[in-house]
This record gives sequence, C-alpha cells and structure tokens, in this order.
Amino acid sequence: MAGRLSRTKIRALLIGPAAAVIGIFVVIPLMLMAWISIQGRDYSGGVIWGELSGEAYLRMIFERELDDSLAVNFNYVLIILRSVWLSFLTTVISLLVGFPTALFMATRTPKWKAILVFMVTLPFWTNLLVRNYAWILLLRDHGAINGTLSWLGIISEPLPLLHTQLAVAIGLTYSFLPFMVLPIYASLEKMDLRLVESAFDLYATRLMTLRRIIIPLAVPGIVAGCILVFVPSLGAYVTPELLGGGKTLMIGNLIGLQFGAARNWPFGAALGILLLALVMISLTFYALKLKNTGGNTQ
Amino acid sequence: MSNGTKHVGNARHWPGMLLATAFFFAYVYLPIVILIALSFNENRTVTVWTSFSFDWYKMAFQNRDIINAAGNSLLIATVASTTATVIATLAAVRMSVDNFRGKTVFSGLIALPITVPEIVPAVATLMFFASLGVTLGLGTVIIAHIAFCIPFAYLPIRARLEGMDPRLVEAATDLYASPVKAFFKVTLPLLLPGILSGMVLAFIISLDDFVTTFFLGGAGSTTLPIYIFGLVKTGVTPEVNAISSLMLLLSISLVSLSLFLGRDQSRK
Amino acid sequence: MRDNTDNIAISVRGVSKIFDEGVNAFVALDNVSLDIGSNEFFTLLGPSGCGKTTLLRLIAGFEQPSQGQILLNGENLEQLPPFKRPVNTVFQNYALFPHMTIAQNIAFGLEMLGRPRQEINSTVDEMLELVQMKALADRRITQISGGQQQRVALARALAPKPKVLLLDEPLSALDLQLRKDMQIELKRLQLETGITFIFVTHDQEEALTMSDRIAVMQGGHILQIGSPRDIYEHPQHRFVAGFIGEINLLRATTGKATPEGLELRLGEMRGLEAKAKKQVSSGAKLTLAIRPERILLAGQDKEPLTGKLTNVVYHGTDTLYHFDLPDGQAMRARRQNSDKTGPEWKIGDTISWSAKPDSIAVLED
Repeated sequence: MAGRLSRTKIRALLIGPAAAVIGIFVVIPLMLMAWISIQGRDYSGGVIWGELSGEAYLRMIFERELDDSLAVNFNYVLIILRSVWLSFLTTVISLLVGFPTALFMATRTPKWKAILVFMVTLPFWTNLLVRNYAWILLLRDHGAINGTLSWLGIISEPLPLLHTQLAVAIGLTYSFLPFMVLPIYASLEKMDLRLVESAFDLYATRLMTLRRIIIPLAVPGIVAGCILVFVPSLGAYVTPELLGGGKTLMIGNLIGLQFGAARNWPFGAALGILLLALVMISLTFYALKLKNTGGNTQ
Repeated sequence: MSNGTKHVGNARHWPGMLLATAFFFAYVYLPIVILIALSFNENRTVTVWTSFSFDWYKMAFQNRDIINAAGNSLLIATVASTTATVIATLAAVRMSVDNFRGKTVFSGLIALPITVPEIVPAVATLMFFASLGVTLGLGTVIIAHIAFCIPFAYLPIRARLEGMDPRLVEAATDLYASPVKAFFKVTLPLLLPGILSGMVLAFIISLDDFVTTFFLGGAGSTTLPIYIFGLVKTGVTPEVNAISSLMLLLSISLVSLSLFLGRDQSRK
Repeated sequence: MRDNTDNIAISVRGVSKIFDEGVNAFVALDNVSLDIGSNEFFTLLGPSGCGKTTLLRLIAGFEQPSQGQILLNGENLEQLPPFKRPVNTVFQNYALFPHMTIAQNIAFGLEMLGRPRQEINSTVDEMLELVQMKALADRRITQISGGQQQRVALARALAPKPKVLLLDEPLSALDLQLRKDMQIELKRLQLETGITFIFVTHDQEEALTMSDRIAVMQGGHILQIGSPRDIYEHPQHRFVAGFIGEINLLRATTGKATPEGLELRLGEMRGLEAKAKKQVSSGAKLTLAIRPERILLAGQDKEPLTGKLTNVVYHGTDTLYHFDLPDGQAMRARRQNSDKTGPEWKIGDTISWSAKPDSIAVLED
C-alpha cells in the first residue's frame, strides 16, 4: 500500500470534476443571474455593473411612464398567471388520464408491465421539439383534425386550434404525461392485488375500494407525478413557442425574449429568479406533502 | 383475459380503465405516427395524402445545411456524452463508498441541471459567458451540454452501484485482489452496462436538446433541432417531416439500445 | 488437539469491536478470546446480533478490531488487508461474480495470486471434481441452482488452498433437504482437505452435526466452548441450555452433600442428585437443566419423584409427556415409542420419574 493517496485527495480527484463542471457552469451562472437581476439596465439593454436597482422586479407589475412615474401594467402579471394556470391545467389533465392508465398497467402480468412501461417511457426520450411539431400538423387550419372534421362535413370553416391556450395545454400535457404515469405506476405496482380483492370481499364497492385502498396507496406517486408535470410545464419554452404563438406567451418565452428581441438582461434575470422561486415553492410543497403522507402509507 | 364479463371481485377490471389507457397511448403515439406517415407523402401540401414517396428524404440528404447541422449535432452529443459519462462515473463510484459532510448537498448539486427548468440555466450561462467575453459557438454549447448530461449519466450509474451487492467486492479482496484490481476485475465489469446505458441516454438528451443550444449557440453551431425550429418558424415543409422522422427513429433505436445494455443480467 | 499450541490456527485475543461512536455506539464483540486448532471444524453459534458474523469478518479482515489481536499461526494479522490474508470466505449469499462462468469464479483467487496458467487450470479441474460440478464449468452463475451456487462458492474459496476457511451461514438460503445433504458434504470436504473451517450459524442442529467444537455466543460474549456433546449434555449457562435443544429449567434448592455429589430439592420433594463441581452451601437456590429425553418415566410409586400429567403429545418416534411437579413447576419428558402401544397414562394421572446425576446440569445464570 505504498504511496497511498489520502482520502481527501481521492475524493477531490474523483468527485472534483463533476463538482467543478456543475459549480462553474451551473451554480455560478445562477448566482450571477441573481446579481444581474438587481443591477441597473443601460439603454441598449445591457447591465450597468455595480448600480443596484430594483427596477427589474418593479417592471413585472409597473410600467415607467415618460415622466418617470410608475403605472400599473398587468401584461407581465397576466403572462405569469397564465403560466401557472396552464401548468395547473396540464397537471390536472395529466392526472385524469394518467391515473387510470397507471392503474391499468399495475394490474397486468409482469410481462405486459414491462412492455407498457417501455411504451410509456419511449416518447420521453424522443425529441421534444419534433413531438410538439407533430401537433402543428394536427392542429393547423388545414391540419389533420380540421381536415377530418370538414371531410366529415361537421365544419365548413376550419376551427382556430393552433396558437390558442388549448393548443398549449394539449402540447404540455403531451410533453409531460409520462412523468405522471410512471411515479403513480411505481407506487401502485407494489400494491398487493389481494388487498383490493379482500376489500371487495369485505363488501366494499368499487368506489369505496378506490377511495379507501387504492388512492391512499398511490398518494406518494400522485404527488410526485404532479410535481414532475407542474415544474417543467411552468418553465416550458418549446411548446408555447411552437403551439402558442405570440398571444399565449409563458414565463419561459418572456425570459427568452429578454435575451433576444426585447433585450433587457436585468428583467430576464429577474424573471429567471421568479421562475426558480416558483419551482422551489413547488418542490418544498412536495417535500412537505411527502413527509405528511410518508407515515401512513408505509 | 376475460372481457365483457362484469366481475366485481376482480381487481384487474375497472370501468373506464381500459378506455383511459387506450386514450393515453393514442394521445402519445398518434401524432408521431401521423408525422412519420406524412414524411412519406409525395404531396407538397403536407397534410393531404396523395402517394408514397421517398422524395423528401432524398431532398433532406442532399441539403448541405441539414448535413452540416447533423454533423454538429453528432459532434456535440458525442463529446458531451462521453465527457459527462467519464466525469459522472468517477463521481458515482466515489459517492457510493464515501461519507463526508456535504454529501447530500453534492447529490442535490449534481441533480440541479435537471431539477430546474432548462430555460433558467440556459440564459444564466448565456449571461455568464457573455460577461466573460466568450464568443458563443460550438465550444459554449458543448460545455453547457456536458453540465446537463452529467446527471443523466450519473443517476443510472449510481442506481446500479446501489443495487450491487457490496459482498462482491469483499469476495474479490478476500480472494487476493487488491482494491484497484477488485475495481477493474469486479466493480467495473458489473458497472459497465450501467455506464453504457447512461452514456447513450446522455447522448440522446444532448442530441435532442433545443433550449440550451438555442441560447448558447452562435454562428456555426446550428444543430438539427435548431435547424428544424428555424424551418417550422418560417413555414412547414415536408422536408421537416422527413428529418423529424429520422430524429425520432434515431432516438427510439438509441433508447432501446440503452435499455438493452442497462438490463440487469444478474437478476432473474 | 487444542492443548498443543503448535497446532493453533487462529488465536483471538481479547478482541472487542465497537461500531460507531457516541450515542450510537454498539458493542458487537466484548473482549472475546478463543483458540481454534488446525484441521478443526469450529462453529460460532448464536442468535442474530450475537457478534458471530462480526468475529468472522474480523478474521477475514473486512473489519478491524477496536481492541485486541487476531493471530494466524502465531502471526499477528493486524496490518494485513483481506487480500493478503491466507483466509478465504464462503459468503452467506455466496457473492459469486455474476459476470463470470463457474470456472472463472473458481480461478479468480489463483489468478490474483499470479499462479501459472497450467497450475490454475489443474486446480480448477480438481475443485470442480471435488464439488461435483465438472459438467457445468462453463455455465454462468445465473444459470445454476442455489445448491449448485453453494458448491461453486465452496470451490472458489477452497481453490487457493487457504489456511482457514470462513463460512458465513452458507446453508441458510437452501431448503431443508439440500441443507441436510450439504451438511454431510461440508464435513466430507473438511476432512478431505484438512483445512480449518470456521463456520457461523444460528442453527443449533447444523452446529451439532458438523462441528468438532462449538462456541456459543450471545450479546458479544462467548458463553461456552466445547464439543457438541459437551455443549448439549453439560450446558454451563442458562442461555446455552435454552438455545440448544429442548430442556427443562427448574428452580431448586440444595440439600446436603452426598457421596455422588449434591442432593437437590424441588420444593418439598427430595430424591434428585446432581454431580457437584464446586462446594455449594446447603439451602442455596439454583437452576437445574434436564433434557426431556433423560427423564425416566414410570407408573405411580415406581420412581422417587412425582408429577401430574397435563398433556400427552404423540410425535411418531417418541411421545412428549407434559406434567406438573407438586410445587407447580411444569416439565416435559420425552419417551421413545419402542413398542406399539406404550403406557396407558392419561391426563390427570400421577406418574413417577427420576433422572441420573450425570443428566442434570447445574447452571450459572
């Protein structure tokens, strides 16, 4: 064992690179973003370093008039609320579709379970952009849905489907639905089917069994699934960009705009911090919920 | 399976369950199927089916921009996934045996890139590079991809290490293998499928990435998703269907490969 | 075999092992000393958490003692990491390498020792022969049964010809019949190879059938070391008596000394004698242990002691008689069913009984 490296050196050598990459290229930039969000903004939209300013945060609610007075401006609040609302809607739809699917999967034979899990997982690994693009083909004025409806003679004018909130909700659900199914499935899969059968045996109706046995067992999975759908929906960029168009912006797009056409870094940074804060609140809620339900599901 | 017979005592049958599942899979797969079908449509109007053709694929393969974008995508994904996998493997191996203060903080840190919505680290890194005066391009894209590929490689490797019987390494040292030999003779071979599986997943994630590449890319770093986005924004052409279909098929075959590699042979 | 110090393979001297520190500290072994002779089949027997596996892991080198020393052939093992100790282990769940064939598993230790290829091949063949697995040499570990895995684990650990073989509950994963076969097989292997076996188990039957000597452990201490017969017939400790086999534990008081040893009284009842090892003053309270099968039962008035039958349980080869002593203590006696009918005692009958002085153990608490 001659020349043995010390514990600390081995640790630095093995864990160091990962810590360095994430530290330098993720953590420091996030800290920089927080700093920039409280900096002044110059006329070209860049940062005036060292000039502390709350302007970026004020801008979320107020607008500066020509005479430098503040006037309430609900445009950005609307976008933020819309993001939360659409994410919430997405989560609810995903839960309604995802729960029965997960229950179906959990009650199959092991062989079918494996196949179904693979089929649910597969779309996640395919290109998000491409999958959202596919919905354009379906939702366009001359797309598959309008085409089918008019061919059937149900409509004469194409329904305006694309570039609506509905389109965004459909796209978000489509993007993140597997995240709802898998955790619920994971918690139901461990369930002993005999539990359900013994409930039936004890004169429980289907609805009672669902409420008293199955849903309580699935709670950790449901909570995890809701978070896993809600958080990425809130920060979505691609879906509203492709399916929403200019009138249905979400926070992600608003942030993106500040680094493109609108060019206002402090404001973009402040929105980034806001998004992070919303995510952290959701995760804290999740941690608390899990702690509360952890006890009685074991 | 008995269908149609209403049997209340059977836990496998719930009203509406099959319907919801059917809806789920239709919802998830139908758009993909339609996209792929339309990519073989001869007609320029994209949505009306006329006849089968490979024309759009031929056109795509002759398009120099697409070839360049594909080259960039492959380059970025290869460099980012292999680098990230090496870094993640080192960390995972050490994390499984080490105990130190701040271990939980590190675990959280390593998962950070996949915990927060991608747009946030993307624009943060953009400001970081811009403040340092770094020119955006392939280099900045690759660095950012390495960062978010690390958790995708790290998590499956770590999971496999957790599932490994610690007595296997003990057995190796009991049979006269030094710790270094035990690592190379026992730990690494058993870990290898997990490592390869993690690497393929990181490769797919990098290949498919849009947001990070979009904000951190510059001239000469156009990847396939960026190119597709540009085409979609300016107007749908059948060519997009062809490249999109190819990307879907590539992802599907890679993920199948990853699952095949990562399946646990030591369990029955 | 154990008196000759030249023949001691493993010597454990004042070894303690404490896991964790402060409030979580857990004493797994408390000042344990023990000598194990070469060629001995030595068993560490005790319930889970008694420290037997910890002691085994200390000998293998997976853990370091907090205090004390372990010597192998008189040499201190302290500085030697596991891969330098001529000691091999058969693990509880075998820990066979799933990415290797059976032959590769067996060859692993020899390869690590850098033995020439030819020697490795011939030793592997020899080992496969020894455990009767020759036909399956190129199978993967996942393709063979639990019993076969057990044999491979043995062959793998024996191949480097260790001075000592450590076996950590190796039979616990097998079902009953296979376990019985493997007990015989293990004993055969030990005799054939002449290697010292240190066997850890919580199964008293396993310990009794295979061992030359047994150490009974509890709570990090060794309570008694002796041959299986010794441990079974002469338990010195209440725990040992209760852990191994079925036994009657009776509260008694001492009477006067007799030529045979010591008179004992069960309540007011006299007529029981034990061999006294040390002087006990008259009237002292103590605990006796008597095996059910050592109690001689007879009809009323034929033997000096009495009892009232409370239950009769037929077991095929024998019958178990439950009876109460006049002072209320419950007892069980086992009687071979050596003829078809047996005695016609009924529940509620008064019976008489006796036990020979050398069948009675006087216990420390």
